Amino acid sequence: MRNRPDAMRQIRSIDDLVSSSPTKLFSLSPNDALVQISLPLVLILAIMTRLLVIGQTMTAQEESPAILEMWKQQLIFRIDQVMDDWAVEAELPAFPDASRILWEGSFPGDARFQKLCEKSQELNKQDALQLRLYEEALLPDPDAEGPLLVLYDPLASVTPDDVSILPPESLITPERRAYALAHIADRMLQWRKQVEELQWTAISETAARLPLNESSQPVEAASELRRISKELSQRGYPFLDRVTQEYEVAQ
Amino acid sequence: MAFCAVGILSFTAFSQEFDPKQRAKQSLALRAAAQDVVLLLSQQSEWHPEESFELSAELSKAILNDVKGYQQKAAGEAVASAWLTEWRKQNFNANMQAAIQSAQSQSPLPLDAEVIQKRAAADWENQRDRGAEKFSATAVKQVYPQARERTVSELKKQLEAGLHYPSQAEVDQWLLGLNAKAEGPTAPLTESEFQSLKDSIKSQVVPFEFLLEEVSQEPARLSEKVLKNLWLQYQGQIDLVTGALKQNLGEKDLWVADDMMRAIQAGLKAAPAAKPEARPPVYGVFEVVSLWGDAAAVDWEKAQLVNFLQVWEEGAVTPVMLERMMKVKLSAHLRPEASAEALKMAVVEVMVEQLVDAWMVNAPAPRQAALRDYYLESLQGEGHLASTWEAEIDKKLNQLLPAIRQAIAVEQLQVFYPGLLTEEGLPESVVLWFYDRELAEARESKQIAQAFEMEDDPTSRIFTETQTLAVEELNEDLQPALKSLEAQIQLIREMEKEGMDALKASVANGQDANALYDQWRKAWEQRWQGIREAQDPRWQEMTGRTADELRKTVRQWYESVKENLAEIEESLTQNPTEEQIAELEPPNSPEMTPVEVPLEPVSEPQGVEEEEPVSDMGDAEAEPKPDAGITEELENFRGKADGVLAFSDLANGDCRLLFGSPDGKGALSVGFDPENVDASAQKIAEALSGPLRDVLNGTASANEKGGFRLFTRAKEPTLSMLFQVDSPKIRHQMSIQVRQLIQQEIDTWAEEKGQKAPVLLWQDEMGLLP
Repeated sequence: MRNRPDAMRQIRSIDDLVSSSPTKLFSLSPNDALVQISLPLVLILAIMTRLLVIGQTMTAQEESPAILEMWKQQLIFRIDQVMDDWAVEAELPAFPDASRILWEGSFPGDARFQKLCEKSQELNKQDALQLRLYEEALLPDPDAEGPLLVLYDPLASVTPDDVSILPPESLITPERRAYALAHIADRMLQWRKQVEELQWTAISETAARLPLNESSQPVEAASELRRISKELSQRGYPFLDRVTQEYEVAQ
Repeated sequence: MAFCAVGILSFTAFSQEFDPKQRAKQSLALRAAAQDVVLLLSQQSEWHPEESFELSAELSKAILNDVKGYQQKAAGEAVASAWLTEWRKQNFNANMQAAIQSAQSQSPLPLDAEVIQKRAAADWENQRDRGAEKFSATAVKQVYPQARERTVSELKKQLEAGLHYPSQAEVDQWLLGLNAKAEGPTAPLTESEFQSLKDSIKSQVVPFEFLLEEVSQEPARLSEKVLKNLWLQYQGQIDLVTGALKQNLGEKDLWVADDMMRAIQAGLKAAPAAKPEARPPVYGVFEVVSLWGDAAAVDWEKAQLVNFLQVWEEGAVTPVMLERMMKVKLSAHLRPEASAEALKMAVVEVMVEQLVDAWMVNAPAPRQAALRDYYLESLQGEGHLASTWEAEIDKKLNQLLPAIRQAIAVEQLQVFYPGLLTEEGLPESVVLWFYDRELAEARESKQIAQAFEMEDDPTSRIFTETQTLAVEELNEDLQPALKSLEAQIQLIREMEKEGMDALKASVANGQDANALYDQWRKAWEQRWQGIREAQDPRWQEMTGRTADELRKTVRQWYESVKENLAEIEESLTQNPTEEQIAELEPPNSPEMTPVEVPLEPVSEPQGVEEEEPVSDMGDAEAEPKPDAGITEELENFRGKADGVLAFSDLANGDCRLLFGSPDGKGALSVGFDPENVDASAQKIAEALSGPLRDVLNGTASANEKGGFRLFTRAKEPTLSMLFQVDSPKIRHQMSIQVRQLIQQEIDTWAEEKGQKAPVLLWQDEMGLLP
């Protein structure tokens, strides 16, 4: 009962507060509202999001390693090896970004970039490269250590010596084949993205460096692209079709 | 939400900015646009003749918008060239903008126009302007003539379409103006008078402020066209009026002006109805036509009267009639103008009824009474018939009256001035009357009456022609008489100069005055022999005035010398040289000046010489020294008078007055306009005010000193002034006015000094100027 007057006073205070002028309640200017409320709020939300992402990553790492099936382990392993080899051959690791490209005047003067461009031409025929890499991966590696599982894909052009003795685990079913091809396609997509970025940068740089021509007719961006890519190709830098045919594709 | 949206957009833009593909596309678009700009710059100066048609159409519009600038074909080419340059620049800007917009549409990232322009050429604006100028220089030769041709064609259409036909009120105003200018008898306006309006109405009819020179004649042509149309309409109306006027021909009835006016108004009703909205408009009856109709009616009536007067023999004005009318009361006809007016009134009064009766012989009986009243009133009032009749009478009077008046004037001359018509010539008293007043001739008949001492001056009773005759008659005799008298007196003056030494010697030898006179008289007559033949026969003998003058002169010299005989003898015994005598007693010095009032010696030459240095020293501080040239000139008059007024011509057509005493006191020289006598006299009076005082003071002091005092009999102070004229432009009037002014100045000076005013002795050496 002693607390009752205090409770009533608090209720009246709340009533006074409610019935008082709104200007007294919200006396902040828009600038104050932005600085004092919104920005801290955004900051808090960003920090929370980042913490959630970190938490999920750590959770995933702490989980026990996935128990992969044998065929999948062998196949992915072999595919990664083949694709690493291809990437090294194509000098992809040498160009994490376009700043590594060497220039001579208006055009690139870089043998490794030249090799990258030439090798990257295979990406123009993605399916063929994909299939080639896949079938290379199916071939057993004679230098490999430890017991290896022979993999056999009835749809592939390569066939093991004695298919009849192979365990069922070795058989690459269409579902398994699709899985493998998808894995290859994912990585090829990253290659292509890296190559395209390098080549677009090279085009941009060339367009900026190259003196203007004395043309007799109005030109457009597409024609300039064609002219520059042709010039680069003649200098040993063949670009991806997806780059050179950008405007045609768009049209 | 808003923050999220802004964040997403910012992130998208940020990611695009770093997307190599997008950046490459931006670079390609930038390069393509820059290439286009370069292409445009390279084409900027190129001219393709096939563009001429389109471009000339554009230029033609520009010319129409600025006709003033293109008014002259040759001068307009520069303006057209400037227009083409500007057009080319604008065209370039538009094409460049299109290229930039195209590039911006192709670029996924923002593309700044300035970046493109700089990528194309750092000095793209200069290149654009230079190219445009080259383009203009080539294109203008082909485009400008075509554009001008188009414009001329278009302007002609616009002029025709914009032709402003004047309203009835405007036309009435123009034609009334023309009518007011017309002189002579009333006549319809002529086509050439209409066409004279061409220039003044041009701006109203063709309201174009500026036109190309090729069409500059168009307003005049169109004005002419409008005026031609107006003239045709006017002529049509005039034809209606003249048709109405002809209605009375062959009629027996007597028409008056009002009858004619009614006929004209009736005739004008046949004029076409006004159609102001038509092109060209049809005008109603012009105000000037109505006025002309009225005037023509009045003229017609006047012509009837004039024609009748020419054949009306009974009413002809004759000299006998006029002379009879004049002699009824000659005092009313003293002046020709008043006489003519009085005679005209008399003729009208006497003959009006006869004229009306004679004129109305053909009037129809029913209208006779009314017409009689009308004509009686019209011929005596102030109307056109009265003025016409009076003009006819005036003509007759102008023919007859001068001869009649001249005959009466001769009669009056014989009656009132018989003294002028005698064969003996003028009495000497008459000649002396003019001589004493320094009058070279008579100017008015009152002078004749005064000279003849007539008790009753007939001037107020005689014709002005009589007065003129009398003055002419008098002057015919007076002028040779004055000439002879002047010559005789002049001879005495010459003898004075030359015979002074002989006279002194004769007096010193005890010769008496009468013998001296006889001696001088003989000498005079001897000299006169050489001159008398040149004089009028009636005035070849010595006049009484000459004899008196000679006697008086000799007497004065005689007495003067005799009173100072001792001094003269002393000087003669000293046997002075001729130069010394001349210096001491100049033949014509003021002391010796032979005037009517004996002179008091003004100065004593020796004394002057002795005192001069002292006087000069004193004067040098008190007053400015006169110009040396003027002083030298005044020196020439030493001995002739106390003061000199010498007039001569200046090179610029003006005259110059040299004034001062011969010793340089009050010396001045003033230029003036001889044509303006009053103003010049005033100017001279103002200029003389101070110097005259100096001369007066100098003369007064000389009078007080007495000095040599050759002549002591003079009781009154005198001031002799020589008025010498060497210019034909100076007239007697100038002498009279200057003399009056000097006399006033002397009186004022004397009053201020509290002295008796010196007598002004005025020597006028003008002679008888033409």
